This record gives sequence, structure tokens and C-alpha cells, in this order.
Amino acid sequence: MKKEIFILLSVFLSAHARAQLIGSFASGDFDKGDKHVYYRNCIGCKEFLIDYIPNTVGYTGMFAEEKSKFLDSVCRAHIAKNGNRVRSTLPGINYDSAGVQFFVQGLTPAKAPDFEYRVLEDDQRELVPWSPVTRFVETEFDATYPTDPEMASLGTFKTGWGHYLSVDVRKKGSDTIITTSTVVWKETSPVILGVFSNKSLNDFLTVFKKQWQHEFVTSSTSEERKKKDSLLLLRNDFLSGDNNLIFYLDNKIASKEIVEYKLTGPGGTTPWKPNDFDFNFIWLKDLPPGKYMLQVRFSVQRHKVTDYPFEIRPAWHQTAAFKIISGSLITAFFAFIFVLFRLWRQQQKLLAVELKNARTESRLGMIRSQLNPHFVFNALNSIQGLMNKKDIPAANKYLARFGHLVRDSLMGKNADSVSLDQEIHLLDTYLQLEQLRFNFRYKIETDPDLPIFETEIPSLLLQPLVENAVKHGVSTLYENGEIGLLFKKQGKDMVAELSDNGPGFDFAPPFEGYGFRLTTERISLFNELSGDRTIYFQVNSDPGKGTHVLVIFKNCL
Amino acid sequence: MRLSAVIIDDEQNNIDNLRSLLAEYCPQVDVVAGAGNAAEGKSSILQYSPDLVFLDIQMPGKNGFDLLQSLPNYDFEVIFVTAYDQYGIQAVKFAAIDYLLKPIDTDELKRAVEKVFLKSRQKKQNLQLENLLQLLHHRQKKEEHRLALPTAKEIRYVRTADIVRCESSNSYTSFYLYNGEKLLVSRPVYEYEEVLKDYGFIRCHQSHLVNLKYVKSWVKEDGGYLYLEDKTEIPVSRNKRELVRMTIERGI
Repeated sequence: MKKEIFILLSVFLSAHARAQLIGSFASGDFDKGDKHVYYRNCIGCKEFLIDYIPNTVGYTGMFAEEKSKFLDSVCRAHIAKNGNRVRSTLPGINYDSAGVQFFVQGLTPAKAPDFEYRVLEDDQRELVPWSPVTRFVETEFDATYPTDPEMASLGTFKTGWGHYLSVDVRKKGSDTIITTSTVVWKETSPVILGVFSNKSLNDFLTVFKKQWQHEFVTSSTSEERKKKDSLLLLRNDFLSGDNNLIFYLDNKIASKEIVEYKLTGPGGTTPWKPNDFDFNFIWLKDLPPGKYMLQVRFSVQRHKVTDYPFEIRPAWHQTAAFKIISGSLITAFFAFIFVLFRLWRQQQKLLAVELKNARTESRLGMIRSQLNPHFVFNALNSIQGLMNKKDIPAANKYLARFGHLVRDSLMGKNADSVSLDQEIHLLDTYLQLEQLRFNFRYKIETDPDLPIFETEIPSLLLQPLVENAVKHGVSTLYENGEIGLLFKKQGKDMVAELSDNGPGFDFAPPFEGYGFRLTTERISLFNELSGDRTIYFQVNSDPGKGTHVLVIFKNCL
Repeated sequence: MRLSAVIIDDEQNNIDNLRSLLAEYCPQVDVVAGAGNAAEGKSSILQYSPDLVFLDIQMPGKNGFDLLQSLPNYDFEVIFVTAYDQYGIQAVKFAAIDYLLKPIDTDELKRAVEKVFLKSRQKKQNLQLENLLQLLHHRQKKEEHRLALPTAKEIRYVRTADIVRCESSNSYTSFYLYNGEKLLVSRPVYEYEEVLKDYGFIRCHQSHLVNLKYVKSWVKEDGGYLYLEDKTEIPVSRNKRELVRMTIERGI
């Protein structure tokens, strides 16, 4: 959309002014629909041929509400240099950096040869010397004076910020300047007049309501001024709850695009953005505690920025110390809960494992090998036989051995495992006693590498197997019977090999050997408890070929 | 040289039996008296001043230990004889004194008498016995109990608190003491495990018996080991981990 919108800055002294004048400032109609503002003024032009010089200033949407001080200084400078101007004019203000077009109404092509114009900067430097008027435009923008179809167009001129340009027109050959137009390039940025928070919302509404009232703005009376000053406070420090802030600007604006702001705070920096409202205030909502910098500028003068620092204090529960303390308390609390939970779960697990182990152990205890009653009484019977044969030394010897065996068997109830040395001793005693009855031969061998005093095995585990070898193996062979028991080292494992040269048997279901069944069950229970120290048990037996039992104690060395 | 002996047992049959066994297997022993209770035993010992006393631990009324405690001095050797007495045997083992279990194994009898025979060549105060009575007297003060360690040269009496650890080498056991000394004893480690388990020792490995008092930390890496105060690292067997854990949890 074409942004060239015309403001015809009025000249104060006009009698025909339709414009509403506020104080010493120029103001005018406001066409909301097109956002076009037309100002026109009329110099008492009838005496002169030339009406006045309208100029076009880029539309900024800012309501010129300048402090008279500034204009006064420009005006004074301008008026002081009035020279041979017929009358002084108040300068128009241009907030845009763009150039301004100057026209002369009533200066038609027919009259033009009699007139000349010039352009002065700050009433000193001649930008354009006295020159003839050569260009014209249709006078379409002022229907009030349709007398002349065309008017002179002097051109577009611009100067730097803070300078002003004057365009003068005179009759050729005359020194008297009959009409003039001045425009100041005014550098400006929004001025924050007061800051209101949610607690002072009423004050804000009072100020905002009254800002359009002439009396309030001009603050004619000292009382009014006092009242205004008491309402307009430039606060920088706000409590934690006071975090909805309204920054009230002095420059009324036509639309929100005119003012831009940028906020730097604890959450970072928001990029420059247009105001959120079409009014002259910036409303920041729900600001978290921290230090802030609000920057405000007009979109037409982005280089000129107003800085406004302020701070929102943290509430006691928002302070760093509180956050650290509460954070660590919360962390500690959850850690505590977590640890409790872990402990509880571990406890449960442990209990479950212990319960299972206890069950397994009690079953183990129940089936833990005991000396077969059959054997006990047969052994006693053998000793009786020795006594009757008057073999007193042998009777002494075997009775003592039998005592050891019974003792070990009873003690075995209290000890899960015994050293291999003790177990071998027990088996030897047992075999000696059985030898008394059946007169077989036997041999117990141990691998010299085997640490028999250190290696531990479940107590009386092998006894039922050895008993089987005697009972089902060699018992019918008498002096031809042979039993071999070999313990050897195999890496980290120990292997016990038990063999007999008995008749063997068909080791297939429904084989129901008490000793084997007992041993198998005991081994499987033991394996449940012992981790990787498992025991592997294997029986090879064929009718006529003897029996070979292999017990592998995994990882027991 | 002959040995004079007193047999103290509450059953006359047992006295007769031992007497005939000695006559048969240890002819160098002269049984000078048999006593059926502690009081009789005391007067027999005082009267005969024997080289050797066969003493039944379990007797009605005063037991064998009470009898010994009532004596003024111990210039004789003792072989304890018992049928079944867990506690008494533990103490006797701790003091490394010989004992016989009923029914009596003639081989063991011969061995025990042989040892007495060697010792009593010089008649002197029986320190082993004194040590035993000392520890029986202070049953609760375990830290005062001295373990009798029969080394090749002598019998050493070592407070259990001064033993850092024991290491097995076959049927021998090496004792590593707090002062850096090492004693080698001709007994398998499992015998000491049994004796020392009530004194805060743990068999964390088949070759190692460790005094928990000297365990600094249980390092679980590398299969797990115990780091001791003397900077040694003692391995923990996988199957002993649970035992070690439970023992350590109960409090080092």
C-alpha cells in the first residue's frame, strides 16, 4: 500500500482553519478509515496572489504533542531570521526521515513566470537559490479552493535530524517574501511519563481518561500539575505480585505499529515488536521476578531508542536461597522415598530368597543323608562277630571306627559341608566296616594336586552311593569284589569316580534306587542354593559290566 | 621310663576298659588309681602326683574342668576322654590339648600317650592346661582367650585379636599375626575354622580364614576380595559371598 499520506501542516495564523487547534500545536481531523490526515490552512491570501505553501510530510501516525520549548527555540530562530518575509510561520514537524514535498497553491502556470522560490536550510544555507517555478500539479487535494486547476510543485527536499527547511516565494524583482513554509526534521523517541502496576490501575485510568482534555495536558494550574505529577510516577522497583505493568507514553499514536518495544529480562530478550494496543501505553503482563530493560522506539525512527530499566523483586518463595533449600528438600525427600522403596523392595526380595532358601534348606535337612539303619545294625553285628571270634584288636578297632562314623553322621546334621579330607576319612571308615562283612577289596585314591584339606563338599553326599556300590555291586562277590573311588582335579572342578565290578543293573525307568533318588534330590536342592558351584551326577550301569558313578563338583576348587 | 596315670570317669566300666586298653596297647603306662568322681579324682592326683590324667569331662556333680580348677598346680599332662560334649571339646581343641572320644580308638590312644611320653621327660608346669583353665574361667572375656598354636618348636599362646588371618597349605595352616609374625601349625585350616568361628573369624575362601576385625573393606570388583589392614587382599569365593555379606552386615 502506498504509504505516502499527506499531512498538510497547518499554519497557525490561518483564519479559515478547519482544523482543531490544540495550544500552539497543529492538529487536525483524523480519518480513521484511511488513516489519512489532512490538514489545511489558509493564509489571508486574497491580498496576495499566492495563497500559501502546503507541504507534504510523511504520515507517521504520531500526534504531534511537542513541548512548546522545542518549537519555541526553532520558532525563535526562524522568526529572528525572518528577514523580508511578510509573516512568520510556525514550522511543521516531520518525524520521518523522508523528504517533504512543497506546493504553492494559487501559483498557476499563468502566474508562474512572475514568481521565484528558494529553499533555505536553518535559514542560513541556500539549498536552492532563487529559481523560477517550472513544475505544476493538479490541485486535486483541496476541493475548497477549486479556482485553479493547477498549482506549482516546487519539489521534494530533506535535511538532517534537528534541522529545518524553509521554502520562500517572492515576486520577481521584489525583496518581499510573500509566503513561506517551514518543516523541522525532529528526532524523537517515546517518552515514558509514568509506570503503573496492577495496584495503581485506577491512577492509570484517571490519567488516560484525561489525556485528551486540553487542561490536563497543558496543566495550566499548578494544582492540576501537581495532581498530574502525583499520578505520573516513574517507578523502577516492584514487588513480586506487582508484575503487570503499564508504561504510559506521552506520544499519542494512531495505531500499534507506530510504537515498537523490546524487553530484556530473566527469560531472555524478546525481539523488537509492535505495541499490543493502538494506544500510547505498553502493557507487560505477568512478569516473573528479575531485572528488566524495556526499550521503546518509534517505527519511523528505529535508531532512537528510549531505555527504561526496572526490576521485579522475587517473593520469598522465589528467592534463590529458598529455591535451593526447597529444591534440595524436595530432592532429599524423593531420594529418601526412593531409598526407602529400594530398601523395602530389597527386603522383600531378600525375604523371598531367604524364605526359599530356608525351605530348600529344611528339605535338605530332612533328606540329608543319614546312616542307613540297615548298615548300622549290620555293622554292630559284625563287631559282635569279631568279639565272638575273640579278635579283640579288630573288635576294638572297628568299634572305634563305627563310633567315628556315627559321630560324623550325627555332626553332619550341623555342618552343611565338610572338607574332602573328612569325607574321605568317613568313606574309608565306612568301607572298612563293610569290608568286615563282605570281604571285598577297595581303593580310595586322590589326585595329589587336589587340596583335600581345603576343598569342601556337602557332607555325606557320597556315602549313599558308596553304600549302593557295596550293596548292589560287590556284596555278592565277596573277595572278588572291587570298589574304586577316585578323586581328581579337572580344571576348577573336582571329579569323583566311583566304580564297582558288580553285576550292574538296568538304569532305566522304572528304576527305583533309594540311594540314587536321595542323592539326585539332594544334589538338585543343593544346586538351587549354591550358584555356580553346582554338582553334576551321572550313573552308567549295564547289566554285567559293573556300575560307574560320576559326580562332578563344578567350580569347587 | 614309665608313666604313672590316674583315670577319672564316673563309670567304673569305662575305667576298667581304659585300664585294659592301656595294658594292651600302652604297656609303659602304670594306672596308679581310678576315680569315680571329681572329689576322688582330686585326692588321687594330690596323693599320687601322676604324670598323666585321663579325665572324663562330663561327670555328675563337678565335671572334669571343675576338678582341674580346684587343683593348686598342674605338673601333669591331661588327656580328656568324652563321649559327646560339643562345648567342652571346643575348649580343649582351642587349648590344643589331646582328647579321646568314646569308644576309644586304640590308634588314637597310642598316639596321645606317645605325645605325653615325649613331653613329660621334664616335669614342669603344664602351661597348656593353665591356658585352658584360664579361658574356661573367663568364658565371656573372649578377647582374653589365647589360642594354643603348636608349632614345630613350641606351643605359642596367641590372643585371637592378634591373629589377622590364617592361610591353608594342605594339612598345614599359617597364622599371620598383627605384629607381622607368621606361625606355621601342622593342622588343617578347617579345624581352626571350627574353633575360631565364634571369635569373629570367617572362612571367606577355601584357603583363607580371616579375622573380621582386620577387614578394612570388601572390594567387590575382580570377583571380590577383602582388603585387610595389613594391606593384603584375600579373595572371596563365589559361594562364600552370601556368608561374607551376612557376617559383615551383622557388624564387623
